[in-house]
Amino acid sequence: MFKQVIYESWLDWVPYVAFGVTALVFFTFVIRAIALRKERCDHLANLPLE
Amino acid sequence: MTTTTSKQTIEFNDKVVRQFMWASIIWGIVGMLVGVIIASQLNFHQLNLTSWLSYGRLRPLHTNAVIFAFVGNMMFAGVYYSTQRLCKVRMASDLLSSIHFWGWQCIIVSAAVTLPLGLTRGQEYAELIWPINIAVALIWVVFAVNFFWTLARRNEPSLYVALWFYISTVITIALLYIVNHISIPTSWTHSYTVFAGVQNALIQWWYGHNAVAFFLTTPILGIMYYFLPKAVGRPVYSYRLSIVHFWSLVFIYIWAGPHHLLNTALPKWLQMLGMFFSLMLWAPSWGGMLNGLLTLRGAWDKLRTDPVVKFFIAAVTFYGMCTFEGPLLSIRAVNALSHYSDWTIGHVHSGALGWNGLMAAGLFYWLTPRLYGTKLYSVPMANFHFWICLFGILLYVAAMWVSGIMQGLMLNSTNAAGTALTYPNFIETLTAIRPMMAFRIIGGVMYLVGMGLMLVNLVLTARSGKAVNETREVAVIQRGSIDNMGLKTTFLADPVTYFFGGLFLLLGWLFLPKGADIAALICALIFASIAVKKFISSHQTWSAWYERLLENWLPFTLLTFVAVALGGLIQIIPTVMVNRAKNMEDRIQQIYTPLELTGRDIYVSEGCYNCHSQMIRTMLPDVLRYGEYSRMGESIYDHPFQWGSKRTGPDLAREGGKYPHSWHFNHMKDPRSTSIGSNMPSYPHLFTEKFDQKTLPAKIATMVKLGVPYPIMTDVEIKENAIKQGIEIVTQLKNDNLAASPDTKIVAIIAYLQKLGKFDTLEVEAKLKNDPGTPKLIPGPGNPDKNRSIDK
Repeated sequence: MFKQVIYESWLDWVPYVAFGVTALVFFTFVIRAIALRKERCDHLANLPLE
Repeated sequence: MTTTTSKQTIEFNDKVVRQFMWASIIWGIVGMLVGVIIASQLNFHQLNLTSWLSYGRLRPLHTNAVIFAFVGNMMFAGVYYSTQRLCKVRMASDLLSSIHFWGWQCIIVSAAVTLPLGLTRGQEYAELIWPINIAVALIWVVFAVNFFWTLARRNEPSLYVALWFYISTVITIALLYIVNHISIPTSWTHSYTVFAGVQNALIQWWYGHNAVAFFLTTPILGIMYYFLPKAVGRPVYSYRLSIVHFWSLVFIYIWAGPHHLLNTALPKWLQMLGMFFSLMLWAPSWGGMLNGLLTLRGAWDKLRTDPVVKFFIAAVTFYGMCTFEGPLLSIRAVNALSHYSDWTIGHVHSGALGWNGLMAAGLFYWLTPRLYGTKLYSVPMANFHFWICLFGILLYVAAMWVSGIMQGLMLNSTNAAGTALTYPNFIETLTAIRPMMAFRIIGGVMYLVGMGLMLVNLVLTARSGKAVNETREVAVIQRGSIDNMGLKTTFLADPVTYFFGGLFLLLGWLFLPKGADIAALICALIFASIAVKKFISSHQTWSAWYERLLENWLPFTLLTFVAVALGGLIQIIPTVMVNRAKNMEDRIQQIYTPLELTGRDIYVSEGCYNCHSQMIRTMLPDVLRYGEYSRMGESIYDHPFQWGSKRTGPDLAREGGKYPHSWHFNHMKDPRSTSIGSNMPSYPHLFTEKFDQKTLPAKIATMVKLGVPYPIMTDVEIKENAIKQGIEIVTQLKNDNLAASPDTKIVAIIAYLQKLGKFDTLEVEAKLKNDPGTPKLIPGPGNPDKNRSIDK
């Protein structure tokens, strides 16, 4: 198992995995951010100014 | 829904904020002064006045002072001030705040004493000796308890984004620091790290890179998200963007460590992973930078009039520049040019002085008048500070860019056929960058002058007012109305279940044998489609779960920990667990004799790794200059690894046998006598000081525990062996009319240098093992190969 981890060429698919994982996290939180209600968003943004 | 029971007037603990602020400024000046001294030493070797003021010992002092003393204290000042306001409550414990402050200063003083004495672990930014490591861990726990206790007592239900960044800092630094500092002590001032060679390299740079991420970046971003809106009097440009910024940054940053080890013996898959995740970092970093800059919308005029805003905006711009440059330097082809050169030095200084230093200045100019109930003593002086610092850092960074690119090009240049180096003498490339190294001193001095002006300005400000603790009337929230999300609700929720279920199946795809891996992949895809369906049908439940998370600090902290731990574990576990014996790339390092091991400890103690690497990269110019590229097995017994990160001098991976003993003897006495134009310090003390024979048996015993296959030797035999080898070296030196005592440090370090690059092939290793005359090897408890057979 680990021999495969060390020796086999991952070049052909590691970029896709990296991009896929990043895209997954990124879009999950983009959706979350867009879904945030405006009044809630304004309340949170103004916390330092209270 | 929260229930308010009563109004209460609270007094914030601003004393601790003041303490950390002054400590940051004073240590910052000390750290930068040491920086100017070591920059000067690189130009004028005569400034290496004594052993404890030599470059190799002072450079770790400079880096530790700037990172942990200057930025560390500044971060704590910002965190203590903003956390109390954002939580609408005083810090939970004045005693813990006080222990945190004084404990941290004691640690800094201990570092300032031990590093010049040559007491070091020999790993960058992780040099402090083991008793100080324990103190750091304990004080960090004190800080964490105080911080989380304050969150638990807060009177504001929601956790503002700055607090998220602080949470990620507190938990990730604890994880990184503990793992990277696991060592076995050999005395009160010395230890060996349990990791060796490639494993040590990976863990060190997982730590080193993420110390930048979670010590120098995330807390400062938290400070940006709190203090920048305060300074310009308007909320952050986009709170939505800050959500994306936080989660993407925290999740991606932890994967990028291996970009410090590109083109080395590190497995290629890890190099690729490090490179690609570094490139992905561009997006969240620039999202954060733009969010900071655009917070100034409609208030750009303040940039002309308010020094605080000037410092903040310049700092955020440097953040953008650094986070553009970092991924650029992580591209393997670019790294082939930049690594080991001054380009990296320029990059880290634009981060530490540009991003962190200017943020610190803005923060302190904003805080001091408020902490002393007065006005800033002199705005023109603050403006002058801004300009002199800005020009200083720009001069510094530009000089280092030119120097790094020039030296990198010269070192990598070959003839058209690629068969010979254009500049075979390393000193030629060093001589070429000397003017740039001089400009660096000027830039550093300008920045230091600015820091001095800030100290004067703020002292005069403080003297014009008096220390005040802000009081505020807050609505007290009934306990139990927030932070009521149990572990079951947190972890058995759909988003978590589907995420970990999918991840588990994906790991099955990676690690299961053929056939089963495809089945796992198919299951993962089916699982993903079910998750999407579920999200579409009940996205409101998913949203509500996340909303609750933001009002529950413990589940939020646990999930942040999972996000940051994931990347580290996926990289580290396979590399640490892997059977070392099977992955040596046809070579195995010869173990150090007792004298060579002693010499190695002296090499580490003198900080030689600050200028010399021991890693010949898989690149033609490196191979032409230094010899065959380094294999994984060639540093398998190196606790700690000494691959280095900067080549002010040449690589030493294959130094053994290159020159006679007399050359090393003369070189250490006066480097200019053998290498004309060298800027290396002389080491006269090595010729008079005796090496430590007393602790040698304990060091060998520790090595055995760590799996280094030393033959069985008694304490007396170990010492005799060292002296015997010393006499052999002294005899050869005598033939060249040089005199030394066999128990001096110079003899030990010559023994070590002559061993560098010595290895056996696996066939020789197997033969030696089966030879009846060979002593039985000791399978140590720390040996990762103890349950495995080399022959399998």
